[in-house]
Amino acid sequence: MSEQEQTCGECRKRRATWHLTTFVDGKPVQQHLCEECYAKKEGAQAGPDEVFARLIEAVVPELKQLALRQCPSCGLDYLEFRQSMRFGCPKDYEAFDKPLEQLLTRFHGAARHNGKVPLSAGREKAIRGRIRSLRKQQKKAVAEENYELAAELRDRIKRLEEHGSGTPEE
Amino acid sequence: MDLGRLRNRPVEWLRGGPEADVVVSSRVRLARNIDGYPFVGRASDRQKARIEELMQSVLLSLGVDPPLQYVRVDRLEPLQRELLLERRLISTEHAEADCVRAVAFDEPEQTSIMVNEEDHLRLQFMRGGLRLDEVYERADQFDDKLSERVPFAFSAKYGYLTACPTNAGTGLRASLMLHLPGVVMAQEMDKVIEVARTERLALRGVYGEGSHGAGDFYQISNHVTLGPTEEEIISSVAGAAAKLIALERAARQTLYRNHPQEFEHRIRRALELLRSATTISSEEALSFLSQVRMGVEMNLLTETPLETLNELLLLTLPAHLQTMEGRLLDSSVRNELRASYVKSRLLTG
Repeated sequence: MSEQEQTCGECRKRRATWHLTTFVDGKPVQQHLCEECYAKKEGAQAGPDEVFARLIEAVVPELKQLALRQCPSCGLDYLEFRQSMRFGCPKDYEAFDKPLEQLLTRFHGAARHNGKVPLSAGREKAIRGRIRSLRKQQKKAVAEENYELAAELRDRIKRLEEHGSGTPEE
Repeated sequence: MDLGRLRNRPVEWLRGGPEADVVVSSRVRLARNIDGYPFVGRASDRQKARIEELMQSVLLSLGVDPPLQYVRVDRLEPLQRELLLERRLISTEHAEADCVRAVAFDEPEQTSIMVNEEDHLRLQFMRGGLRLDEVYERADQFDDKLSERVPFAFSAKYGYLTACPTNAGTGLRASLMLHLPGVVMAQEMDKVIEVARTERLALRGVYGEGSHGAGDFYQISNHVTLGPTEEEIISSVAGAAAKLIALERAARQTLYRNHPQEFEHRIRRALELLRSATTISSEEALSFLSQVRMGVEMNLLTETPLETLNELLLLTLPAHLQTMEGRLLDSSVRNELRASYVKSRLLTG
């Protein structure tokens, strides 16, 4: 009897369409099942434990990948960080890259800073950052028809662009 | 330094200000770290000591007006740390930690810089009433001054780098202490929670455990620190405050309009209890002071100045009472002392 014509080993009635090989005590055992019996067996197998096991199987490589993300400066890895939710040093931000970006987006709704830039990062950079922030506020003020505020912001931006100072007395 | 003299000096942020009937105080906090060092949680004792040394010399030579006084928190007695905590000059974590750490603050207690808290630096600025714009401006100027002297850990993408991802970006936490006795009495806290939820603000009780604020004092603060600009954060918290102020005032008016006698009776009874009690717990004192404060704000009580009530809110806390007595006291003695102190202050005004 060729494989195509085999009867199902379970119900012994319908034609087998699934031909599985499992290993029992290291020896290969062939199983031939029809569509219905195969579905029943699969359904029974995929209990909560099975589902959980499959999930773990799928997640383990990712977890291994995450554990490999380690800060070259302080030695903290991404999994340690996730457990404590505390960074070890400022370099971690760069080292944890994409997973961190996702985490920050989940928490803050964004993963990009739009605010202040410290003078220690360079005066020019700080001023550029300040101008960007003021422009954003100006746009919002116009949208809210707060023209007085918008004009004040426009003047501050102009002063920053020309003299690197946002307030008249500076 | 002698911290004992702080004990009967009221803090500026309890002296009122704009919208002080609902907004007790405004606070802005900036989290900053020094570039080139691990964060405090992973730094060695030597690194923490170096940070403390560096910040002591920077803070004391910064030339700010009013000048800062510098206190090594790890060298204080537990009661002294508790006193600084009650005055909000340091956080609970800073009071309880066990490493080299310090706080620098000015005479009016409007500025307080914690060194080696969760971040190397926590810059705090406070004032009475709703003055977030003004307080942020001061914070911003102080921060600029500091950044001329100290290189901060910063990335163009993530902004100011902090030990906890929930502070990254601006490192800015803007918070308001609100007095909401009307909302609580009218059982409308769900409306407050809803405003906090839609504006993405954190809400918690100021005193006591859990979410209920003893004495009906609550704190709202921004949740998000990365993405919006500093000005956007400040204006979102101030915007939510405007809604909460309206809710609280409406609740007070409705309660009074619908049940004027019952309302007044409740407030007068709270005042009488404060004037006659021979023993009173911290929680009871807060609760009665809260009622009386509402009565004064609504002009239903005229004999007690608001300033006295605000002072009592602070000076009747456990560490203040014990510092006043110059020794540690158990709670029953504290409760008697509290009652007699409240009584004398309310009778003298």
